[in-house]
Amino acid sequence: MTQDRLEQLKLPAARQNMNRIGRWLTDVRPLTIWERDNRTLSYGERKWRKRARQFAQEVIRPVAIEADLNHHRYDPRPLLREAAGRGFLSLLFTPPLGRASILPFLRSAVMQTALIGEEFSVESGGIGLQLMAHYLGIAPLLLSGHLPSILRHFAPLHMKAMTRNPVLMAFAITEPSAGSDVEDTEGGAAARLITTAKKTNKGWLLNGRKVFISNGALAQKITVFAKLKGEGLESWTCFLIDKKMNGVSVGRQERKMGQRPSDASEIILEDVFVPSRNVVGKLRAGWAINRNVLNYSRSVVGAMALGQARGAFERTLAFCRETNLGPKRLIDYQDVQLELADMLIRLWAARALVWHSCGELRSNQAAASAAKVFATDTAWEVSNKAVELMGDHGYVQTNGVERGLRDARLAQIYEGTNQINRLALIEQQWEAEIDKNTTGA
Amino acid sequence: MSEHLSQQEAQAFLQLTQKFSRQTIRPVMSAEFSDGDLSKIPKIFEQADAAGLLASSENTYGIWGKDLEQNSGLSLQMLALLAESCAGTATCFHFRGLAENATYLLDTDIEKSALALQESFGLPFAGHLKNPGAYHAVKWETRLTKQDGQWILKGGKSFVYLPPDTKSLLVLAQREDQWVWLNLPLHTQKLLRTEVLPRTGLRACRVEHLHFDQIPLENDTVLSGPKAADTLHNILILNWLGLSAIGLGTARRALASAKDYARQRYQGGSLINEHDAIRGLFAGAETNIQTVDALLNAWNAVTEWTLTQVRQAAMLKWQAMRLLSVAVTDSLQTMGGYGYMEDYGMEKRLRDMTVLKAMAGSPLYLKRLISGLEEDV
Ligand SMILES: Cc1cc2nc3c(=O)[nH]c(=O)nc-3n(C[C@H](O)[C@H](O)[C@H](O)COP(=O)(O)OP(=O)(O)OC[C@H]3O[C@@H](n4cnc5c(N)ncnc54)[C@H](O)[C@@H]3O)c2cc1C
Repeated sequence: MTQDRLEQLKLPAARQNMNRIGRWLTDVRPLTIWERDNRTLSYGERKWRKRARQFAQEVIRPVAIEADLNHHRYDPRPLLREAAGRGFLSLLFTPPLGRASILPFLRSAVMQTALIGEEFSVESGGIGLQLMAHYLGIAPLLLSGHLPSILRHFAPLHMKAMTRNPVLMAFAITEPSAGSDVEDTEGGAAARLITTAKKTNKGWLLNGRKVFISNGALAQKITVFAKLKGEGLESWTCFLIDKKMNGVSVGRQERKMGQRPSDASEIILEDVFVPSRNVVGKLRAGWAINRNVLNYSRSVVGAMALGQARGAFERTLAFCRETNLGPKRLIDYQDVQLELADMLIRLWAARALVWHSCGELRSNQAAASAAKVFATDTAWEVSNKAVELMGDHGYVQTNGVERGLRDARLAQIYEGTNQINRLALIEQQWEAEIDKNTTGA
Repeated sequence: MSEHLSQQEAQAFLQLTQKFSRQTIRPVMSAEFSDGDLSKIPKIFEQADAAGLLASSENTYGIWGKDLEQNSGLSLQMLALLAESCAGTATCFHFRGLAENATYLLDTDIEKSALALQESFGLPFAGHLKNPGAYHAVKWETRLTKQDGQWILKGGKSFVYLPPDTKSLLVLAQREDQWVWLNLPLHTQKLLRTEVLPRTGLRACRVEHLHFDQIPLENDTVLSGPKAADTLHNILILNWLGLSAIGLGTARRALASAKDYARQRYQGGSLINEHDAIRGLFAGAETNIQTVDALLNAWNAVTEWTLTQVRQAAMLKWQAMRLLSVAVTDSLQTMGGYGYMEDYGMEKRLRDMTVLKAMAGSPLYLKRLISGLEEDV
């Protein structure tokens, strides 16, 4: 078979034998998957996705390896300021309070954050988390739906996040004895909580501990959830605390397998006085706020994991393109092509589900959990394949492929383990479809 | 020492290994470092030698001691026991043993050597194994060429695992159409060495890339012609078996610590080991571990070193690593966020497994080898 003959048989040449309509119906545009996906997005979404990719490549990529290997020496502040200045920390609302594009925001409150979350994470899962954990911290202020909280706290903080001097936020629900329990209804009922708020004259006194808080050390303000003294989880209330408040301190900082640039820290609360104006939403609305925040954020976590695995994939692809095995490049071997195709298919399918889960203004538990589980499990599989494809080169850390694997592993655990998220899906669909015809009634 | 161990003796030897693993290796590993205090590894090695765990010309029971018909099962079990405490340390023992075994087969008594096997593209392909001279699709780089009546070594080796106190290298090279093994002292001139750093896991064992910058060879450097191919088969087989055993030990310990954790952690109103989600993960992990254990048991006495065995060992490594990786990652999952933190040792096991899976024959390579040797066996 000559090369010419092969070229003739390929669709771009072969379609020349069709009439004009036939030719038009045959899509042979040489687009990347990224570009193809882009075409399905609205103008505003495309704009943010493109900007985020550019930022990731120009600003995150050069520091990604160092920030992972020597995270103690890495100072994230300049990058965070730059990101804020470019609008990447203020996509949770539209102008004038934020910078989200209006029409797409009305279709989905989180799609634009999901898009940038994927792009940042392609270059560094840890820096991606640092940027996106801010959204998790600020989300309760908006999702409480409580006008005073929105006007007093969300609006100024979200506007500040448009400047190069943002107030960084974190979100604190997890406690030493309550991890899954604060993400799951049945667990919640039995949760052993220690963080407590006691009413005082002009506000509340908070005592207790939160653990594993992303950006816990870096953030200036934290949305903290506490039960009211003498009551259970039903009384959970969200408080906005400032790290400068007396009695707030950062305890243990975890040493993690991956996503290392971002800190996961213990927050210690000792007789912290929180003024009543810093109660977010209504008293005892904390549990609902928390669950709803997770419903909005889990799709984004799925997108971030997808990005981490895409990063591993892209670096493996570059390796296969640049490496010769005998007379051919690795990408010219059929067995390598099959592996690459498999990775692309999985990533594409995961993105489709993540985007689908962001299909409505309001997020819902089933869609968000499904997207989180599928995308994070897929990310784990794909990043494993990426490492395997490179053989021994895969575990050399400066090649940046195994980082995707270490980063992606976390996504199966936080924001509710994937087991808890599966149960969350069942819970949401229980009445509508799971238990529908089982009673025989 | 006699070459045949009674069952009781073998049992005692395994107990000794277990004790060594728990009392000597484990404390070093659970220090505040994510991979243990690596500066202590040379000392551990010395102690292992004194305890008789390392094979040598006098000690045929140590790991990969010469009498494989009797001892291969013992070596596999020893490696698994050592890996229960640290896969990287077990890897040091494994590679030292492999080199020892190669020297027996090559009828020499070089001690404390390491194997330099892999080219920059990896291990020998099926074509190389069938006929090193005739396989041109992927050219073997490390070669002997004659210049002015003297043999010169050119080429390089990648990802060479160097246990502590290595004195020399056993280098696989091509001379004309033949395989040969060379004994090269580690401090040979024009042998350029680069440490491979940083790596995801198995950090207790040093890894280097080597470059042979036209090294003139003494005559006694070349160890073997006719036995070279058999030795290569032998080494490939033992390497894949040993790494699988290290994976087995890693996974066994991962599951055991996850079960310990699950006996203490309350969530969802009960100990987590009462939840189906956790029990299912444990059942899966245990099944995978048992499956690999059974597969490895079939290799308790290795009697043949043909391409058939090479192929079967490749199958074993491929599937064992797949199953064991799942066992480790699922064990980690049962510990939630704590599994992801360095202090609990679980993330190290997962990193080590990741390396074991990719190293010395990636799944893609193994698949190629298995299909490439199909017609020959
Ligand atoms: C790096 C990192 C960053 C994090 N960032 C934040 C943050 O910013 N803010 C925050 O508040 N939290 C954060 N978390 C906490 C995270 O959400 C929890 O780790 C996660 O929810 C799991 O809780 P756990 O670690 O306590 O595990 P556990 O709840 O102890 O779970 C252990 C195992 O038991 C299973 N299990 C538990 N309960 C049940 C049940 N009822 N039924 C079946 N199976 C069950 C789990 O699936 C898991 O496999 C972070 C965690 C990590 C590791």
